[in-house]
Amino acid sequence: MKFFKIIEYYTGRKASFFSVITDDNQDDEFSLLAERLYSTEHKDKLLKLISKIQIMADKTGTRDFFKDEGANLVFRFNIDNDEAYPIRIYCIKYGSENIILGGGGIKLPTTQTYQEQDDLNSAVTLLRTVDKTLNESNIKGYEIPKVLDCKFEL
Amino acid sequence: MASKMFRELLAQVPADIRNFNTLTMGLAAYIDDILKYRRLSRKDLAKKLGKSESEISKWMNGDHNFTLSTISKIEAALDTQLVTIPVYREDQKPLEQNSNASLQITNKSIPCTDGILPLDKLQISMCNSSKGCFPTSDTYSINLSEEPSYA
Repeated sequence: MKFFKIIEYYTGRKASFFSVITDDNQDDEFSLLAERLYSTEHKDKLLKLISKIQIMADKTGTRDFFKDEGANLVFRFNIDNDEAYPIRIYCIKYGSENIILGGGGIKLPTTQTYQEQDDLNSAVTLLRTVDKTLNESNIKGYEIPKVLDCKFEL
Repeated sequence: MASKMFRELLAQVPADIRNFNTLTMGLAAYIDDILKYRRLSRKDLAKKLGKSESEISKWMNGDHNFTLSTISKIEAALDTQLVTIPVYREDQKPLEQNSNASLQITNKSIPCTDGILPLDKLQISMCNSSKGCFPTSDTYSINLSEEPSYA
């Protein structure tokens, strides 16, 4: 049986960021992606995103600092204003205070939408499944801090 | 609370990147708050500036590199100040790198009336890890204007 858990990633006074651990993985989805990006030429963009997460959590709140992927509550981070920039990191945005960080990847030049690339599509699909499961369990976005480390069936 | 990995990565963020994000996101958030407080829409701001609404939305995505010209135009359109330039004093010393200087509230307890904290009773000290804490000679004021700031 496959399952997932939600863990706390970073909490400030304006917003909280969580991530998802699936099955018996040691690391959460966002940390796995961060680890992969860290050893590439995209390390500086990863650090830029980390800084943005801290500023959103501590100072500004989440606002409109995302791009809508047209996939219900799944958004992607606006890391760089350059539209052609290849990093895609997805999240679910519940109101302005609770964000679940997911995975993503490096968009290939031939990819137009996330559905066309396996790693991007599976990151979005997992987040949508997490959202659906929380919905079916009657857990609202603001209640996420109460269900940390609980196991949910995928 | 922060995950171990987040703390480790955050410690590696270069100062210029952190400052750029603080400025771009802080400016966007501040403009957003002014609009909300004054019950103005982005469309209203776009109209005042002769821009399209989509351009205003792009400014608000937290990664826009505002030019001084744009900041000046927004300040004029909203009749507000977005950026303050500090005045240089002759006796002013540059900030030491990693000096851990901070302002601390030094009085342990402040009586509140009806749950309201009397800000004029705060005793503020300048603290530095190597030099200890000492009361500030300057006057620090806390601006309680209706519009929030992101200093």
